Amino acid sequence: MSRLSISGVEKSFGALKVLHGVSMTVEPGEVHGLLGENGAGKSTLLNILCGVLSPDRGTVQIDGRPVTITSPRAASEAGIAMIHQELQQVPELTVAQNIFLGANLRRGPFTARAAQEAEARRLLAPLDPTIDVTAPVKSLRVAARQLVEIAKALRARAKIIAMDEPTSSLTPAEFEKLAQVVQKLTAEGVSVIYVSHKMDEVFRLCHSATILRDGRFIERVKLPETPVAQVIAKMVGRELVHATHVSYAKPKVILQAQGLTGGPVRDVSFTLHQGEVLGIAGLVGSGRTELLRIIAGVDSSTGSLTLNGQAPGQGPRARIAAGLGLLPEERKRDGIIRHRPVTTNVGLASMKAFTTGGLIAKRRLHARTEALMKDVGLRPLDVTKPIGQFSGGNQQKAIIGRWLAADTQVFLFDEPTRGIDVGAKAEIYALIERLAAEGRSVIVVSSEMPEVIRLSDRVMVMREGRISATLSGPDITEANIAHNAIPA
Amino acid sequence: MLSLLRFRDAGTVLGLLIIGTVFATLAPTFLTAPNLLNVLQQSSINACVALGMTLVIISGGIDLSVGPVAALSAVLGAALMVAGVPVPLAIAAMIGTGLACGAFNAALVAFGGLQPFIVTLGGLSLYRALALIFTGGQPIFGLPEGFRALTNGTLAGVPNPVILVAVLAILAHVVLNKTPLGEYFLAVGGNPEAARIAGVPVRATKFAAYMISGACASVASVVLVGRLGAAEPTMGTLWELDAIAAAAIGGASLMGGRGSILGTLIGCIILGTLRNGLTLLNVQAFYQLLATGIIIIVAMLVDRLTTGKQG
Amino acid sequence: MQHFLKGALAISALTLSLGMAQAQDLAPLNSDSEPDRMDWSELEAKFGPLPAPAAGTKVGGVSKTLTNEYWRSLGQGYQNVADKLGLTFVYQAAQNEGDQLGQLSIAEDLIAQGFAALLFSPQTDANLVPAVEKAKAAGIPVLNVNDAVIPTAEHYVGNVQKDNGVRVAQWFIDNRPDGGKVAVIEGQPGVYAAGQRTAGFTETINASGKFEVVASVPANWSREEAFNAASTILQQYPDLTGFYANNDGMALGVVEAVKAAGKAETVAVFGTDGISDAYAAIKSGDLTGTVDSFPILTGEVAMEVALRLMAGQDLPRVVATPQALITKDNIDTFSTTDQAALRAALLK
Repeated sequence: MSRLSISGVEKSFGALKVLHGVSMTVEPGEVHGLLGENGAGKSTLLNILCGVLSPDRGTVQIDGRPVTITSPRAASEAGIAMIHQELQQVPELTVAQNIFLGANLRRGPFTARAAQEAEARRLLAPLDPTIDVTAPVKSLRVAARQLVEIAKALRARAKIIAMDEPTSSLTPAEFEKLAQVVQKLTAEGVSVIYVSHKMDEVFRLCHSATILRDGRFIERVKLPETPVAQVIAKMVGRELVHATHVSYAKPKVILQAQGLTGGPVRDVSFTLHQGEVLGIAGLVGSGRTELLRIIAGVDSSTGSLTLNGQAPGQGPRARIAAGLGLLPEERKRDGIIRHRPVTTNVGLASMKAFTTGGLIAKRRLHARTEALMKDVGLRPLDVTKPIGQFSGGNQQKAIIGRWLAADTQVFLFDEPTRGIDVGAKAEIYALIERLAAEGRSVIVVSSEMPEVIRLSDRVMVMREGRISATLSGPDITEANIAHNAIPA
Repeated sequence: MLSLLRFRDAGTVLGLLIIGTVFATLAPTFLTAPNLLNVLQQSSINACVALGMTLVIISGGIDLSVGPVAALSAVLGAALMVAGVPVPLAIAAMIGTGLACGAFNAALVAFGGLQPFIVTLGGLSLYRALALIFTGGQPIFGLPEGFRALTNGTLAGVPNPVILVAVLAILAHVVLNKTPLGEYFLAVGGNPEAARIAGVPVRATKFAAYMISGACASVASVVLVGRLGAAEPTMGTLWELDAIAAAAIGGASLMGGRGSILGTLIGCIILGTLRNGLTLLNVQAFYQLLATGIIIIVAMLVDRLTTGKQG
Repeated sequence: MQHFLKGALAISALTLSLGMAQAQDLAPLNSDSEPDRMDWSELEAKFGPLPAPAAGTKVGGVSKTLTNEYWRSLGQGYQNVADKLGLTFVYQAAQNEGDQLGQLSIAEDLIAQGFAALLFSPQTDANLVPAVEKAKAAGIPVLNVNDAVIPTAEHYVGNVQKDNGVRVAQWFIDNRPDGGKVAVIEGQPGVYAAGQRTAGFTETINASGKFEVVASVPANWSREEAFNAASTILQQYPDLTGFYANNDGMALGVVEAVKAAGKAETVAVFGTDGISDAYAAIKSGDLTGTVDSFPILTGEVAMEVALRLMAGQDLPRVVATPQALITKDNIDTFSTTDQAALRAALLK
């Protein structure tokens, strides 16, 4: 008997039908992938499972018994727990308080704090005994906070734990630990629904997977025996060409950094050539993001930086004028102006060029944006729509367009494909290669090793704020990167 | 977004029409030209202040100091006029005072990194105190008739303050929707960090917003001093709340990044119409307050329902 | 016929020029010191009995705020006369005492509605000026009733503000012959009534030579601010003889501070206005006294003055309304709701 069996689920928002009779089965003790591109219906299905949305049609059975999940509380009572990508925790409360949030142990009218802490310690022991249950959750790293969520699910005696993009902010080492935890859970008979864009993780962890596309059930596949290319093809509905790396680097030096120091970054020196893609690898916290921000003038630093032999001024405006452009990791937080149309978001860095007599030349801005967005493949190609309504991949395309409009010479990508689905990922890679082919230079910070290896002509590995190695050609391997990234 | 804003503005206009229809049915004198002009004239002071407030709110800030800035401008300008300084010069000095107060607010927000609410709350007391100290708490009377004629005159039957506000509103609309500065207001209010990374001059943008707000408060004080024929250091009490209410009714988001000049203008007229209509109906002050509160909350609920789906 | 026309023309020209002369010469009003004045008690003697208004006459009133008992009572007085004579009376008020523009809007909105006379109690000296001008253009007589004084007002009915302070000072001089330290809790800075009351008290008590005003601080008509200010002053001057507060609300705040400091036996506290809480406090011995300005009676007098003006009587610019110092000694006489009895007591 299956642990979870969903069949024929339909859901519409107004006239828009987002789920067309979706089915999914999950066996006890199984890790089951839920795969599909953004917009395929994964989130809607998860939301139905955890009681945030209710389906228009279809049934949900747990251990063979039909259940109706009308609220998050009902989901919890049915044994379903959800670990959201954005963790739903109260940062100021302690670990124990978060684990017992909404289900406090009581002694008379008071919360039984000691009992809660003891129980929290017991729940966390197999996951990570080093977590201090009396510490506020905000003091923990993301990986530990995830474990707290898992402990909370165990506290509620969940039989099914759904994880939505759990590794989006984890380091490879943290992923390994999470993988162990998942295996422990399944060994005890808990079923895990695992949603991720990262194929390598899905293939490492999952026993089977349900593939959705455009709100429809496509296929249930066994993993890892089904070939990756086949799974991806089913997800995107077409075969993706897996290109190999091509270098467009020329000898001319474009950017030279000497002794950059600031924040966690310590004495970083390097050169960047025309048409070159320079990868920066390293663990989270090794100073990669901060280095990019220093180069872009967003954070201040000591040391020197020259661009085409000249020192640009301080601050983002001066650096942009000199030809640098940052594409931040957290696009929602640092990249886009959510309510404004694509045109504004593209033109923001080069408003002067789109201004005539003090007024914005709207028609010129529109035409230029549309041309650029057609070129980078924005979908849908409606540049008057607020950028917040586009998917992550399309937002990234718009920001690439912003720097193209500003005729930026050096593109600084921080995690260029974070939160972007498989199909769009390939497009972003192709765009980065085109930038290089056009003679622009690119720096790519990425936590995904295949990405760094796929894109880079050279890879700088950072460790504790310093450059521990610079790899090129055949030396760019996962082993070499990992070896140099991990502190001695 | 454009279509959404227009949609939101249409909602505000619809609200005004509903309120207007109710009053027109209940109070026969409501729908007469003199009374409607009266409403516009009464709304003009708040509208003047609210225009600047809207730009500040859109850029992610708030300006609680508008009333006292107006009072300070008023007493300085009046003192200059009484001392025989030519009227245009005195008016320039009043607007200069507003710009200076705005620049002071902006400096604390942009360079001091302080929260706009707290900065302008401080300004609220500070500028009021300066106005009281300067005058010893006494109103200044005896302004030149020429000056009063400016604000009490009419053009083609329309009171000058109404025309002034219309001109200012068109200017503000153009700035917000057709200039880089307007885009910068929206960008800085919508996402300051993203704006900074995209090369938006964030500090300069904040200076512009607060200085425009200060200047608008001063212009309102010019109008009011002209109408009253006196400048009082206690002038402008609670102006900030009326202006914020008008902006909010008009669709400005107090989180920044969204708002419309047309919406704010109609928000002012809604507030003015409420007061006028309820007075005509001889509704007691307490119920007028109640009605204002309900309108603001209903506007916010409608806002939430119409924009909530945008996610 | 020709003579008659000539005469009529001459008279109208004369009135016109007189009117203009008056409009130009009208000095900024100071309600306390205006020489063109009379006391309310002389109205009947000098101008005869109250003329009856035409049927259907409408009178409008704009008050400061209805959150304050004083202004509600004033409206009650207006209404009393209106009811007695069958007038239609509309009473409007701003939302709070700071709402200057709101009050102006209300006043302007009333002008268009065909009232025979308007009774304004402005928030500040200036905020109703445009409405007064508009009413004048429309030929509607406007009475400035109490408190803030519109400099261009042609008619003022209200207290002699300064007299409030004078009466309290006189009590101290009569009842505390040894003198001592006294403190003033002022109303909102810049408000005419507050300034005059304080001045009346301070000038009179200083002239006696035995008293020292050790503190004079504004508490903005707020009971709480008055409590805080009085507490501070008591700490600084434990040997204080008494307080004078510009209104009763603040005086009651002071009373709490005095009780909290354990000085109820030694410190005398006076207010102004004569609100019902003040009467209760005087009876219970907490408050030493207040200067009652009899708001209901004041309202009645103001309405009567309005009726006389509408009937064309040429009254002085200022009509002073009744006032009396209320202490435990005379409180029984004055704590009556019978306005006729009150009039009799005051006229005695």
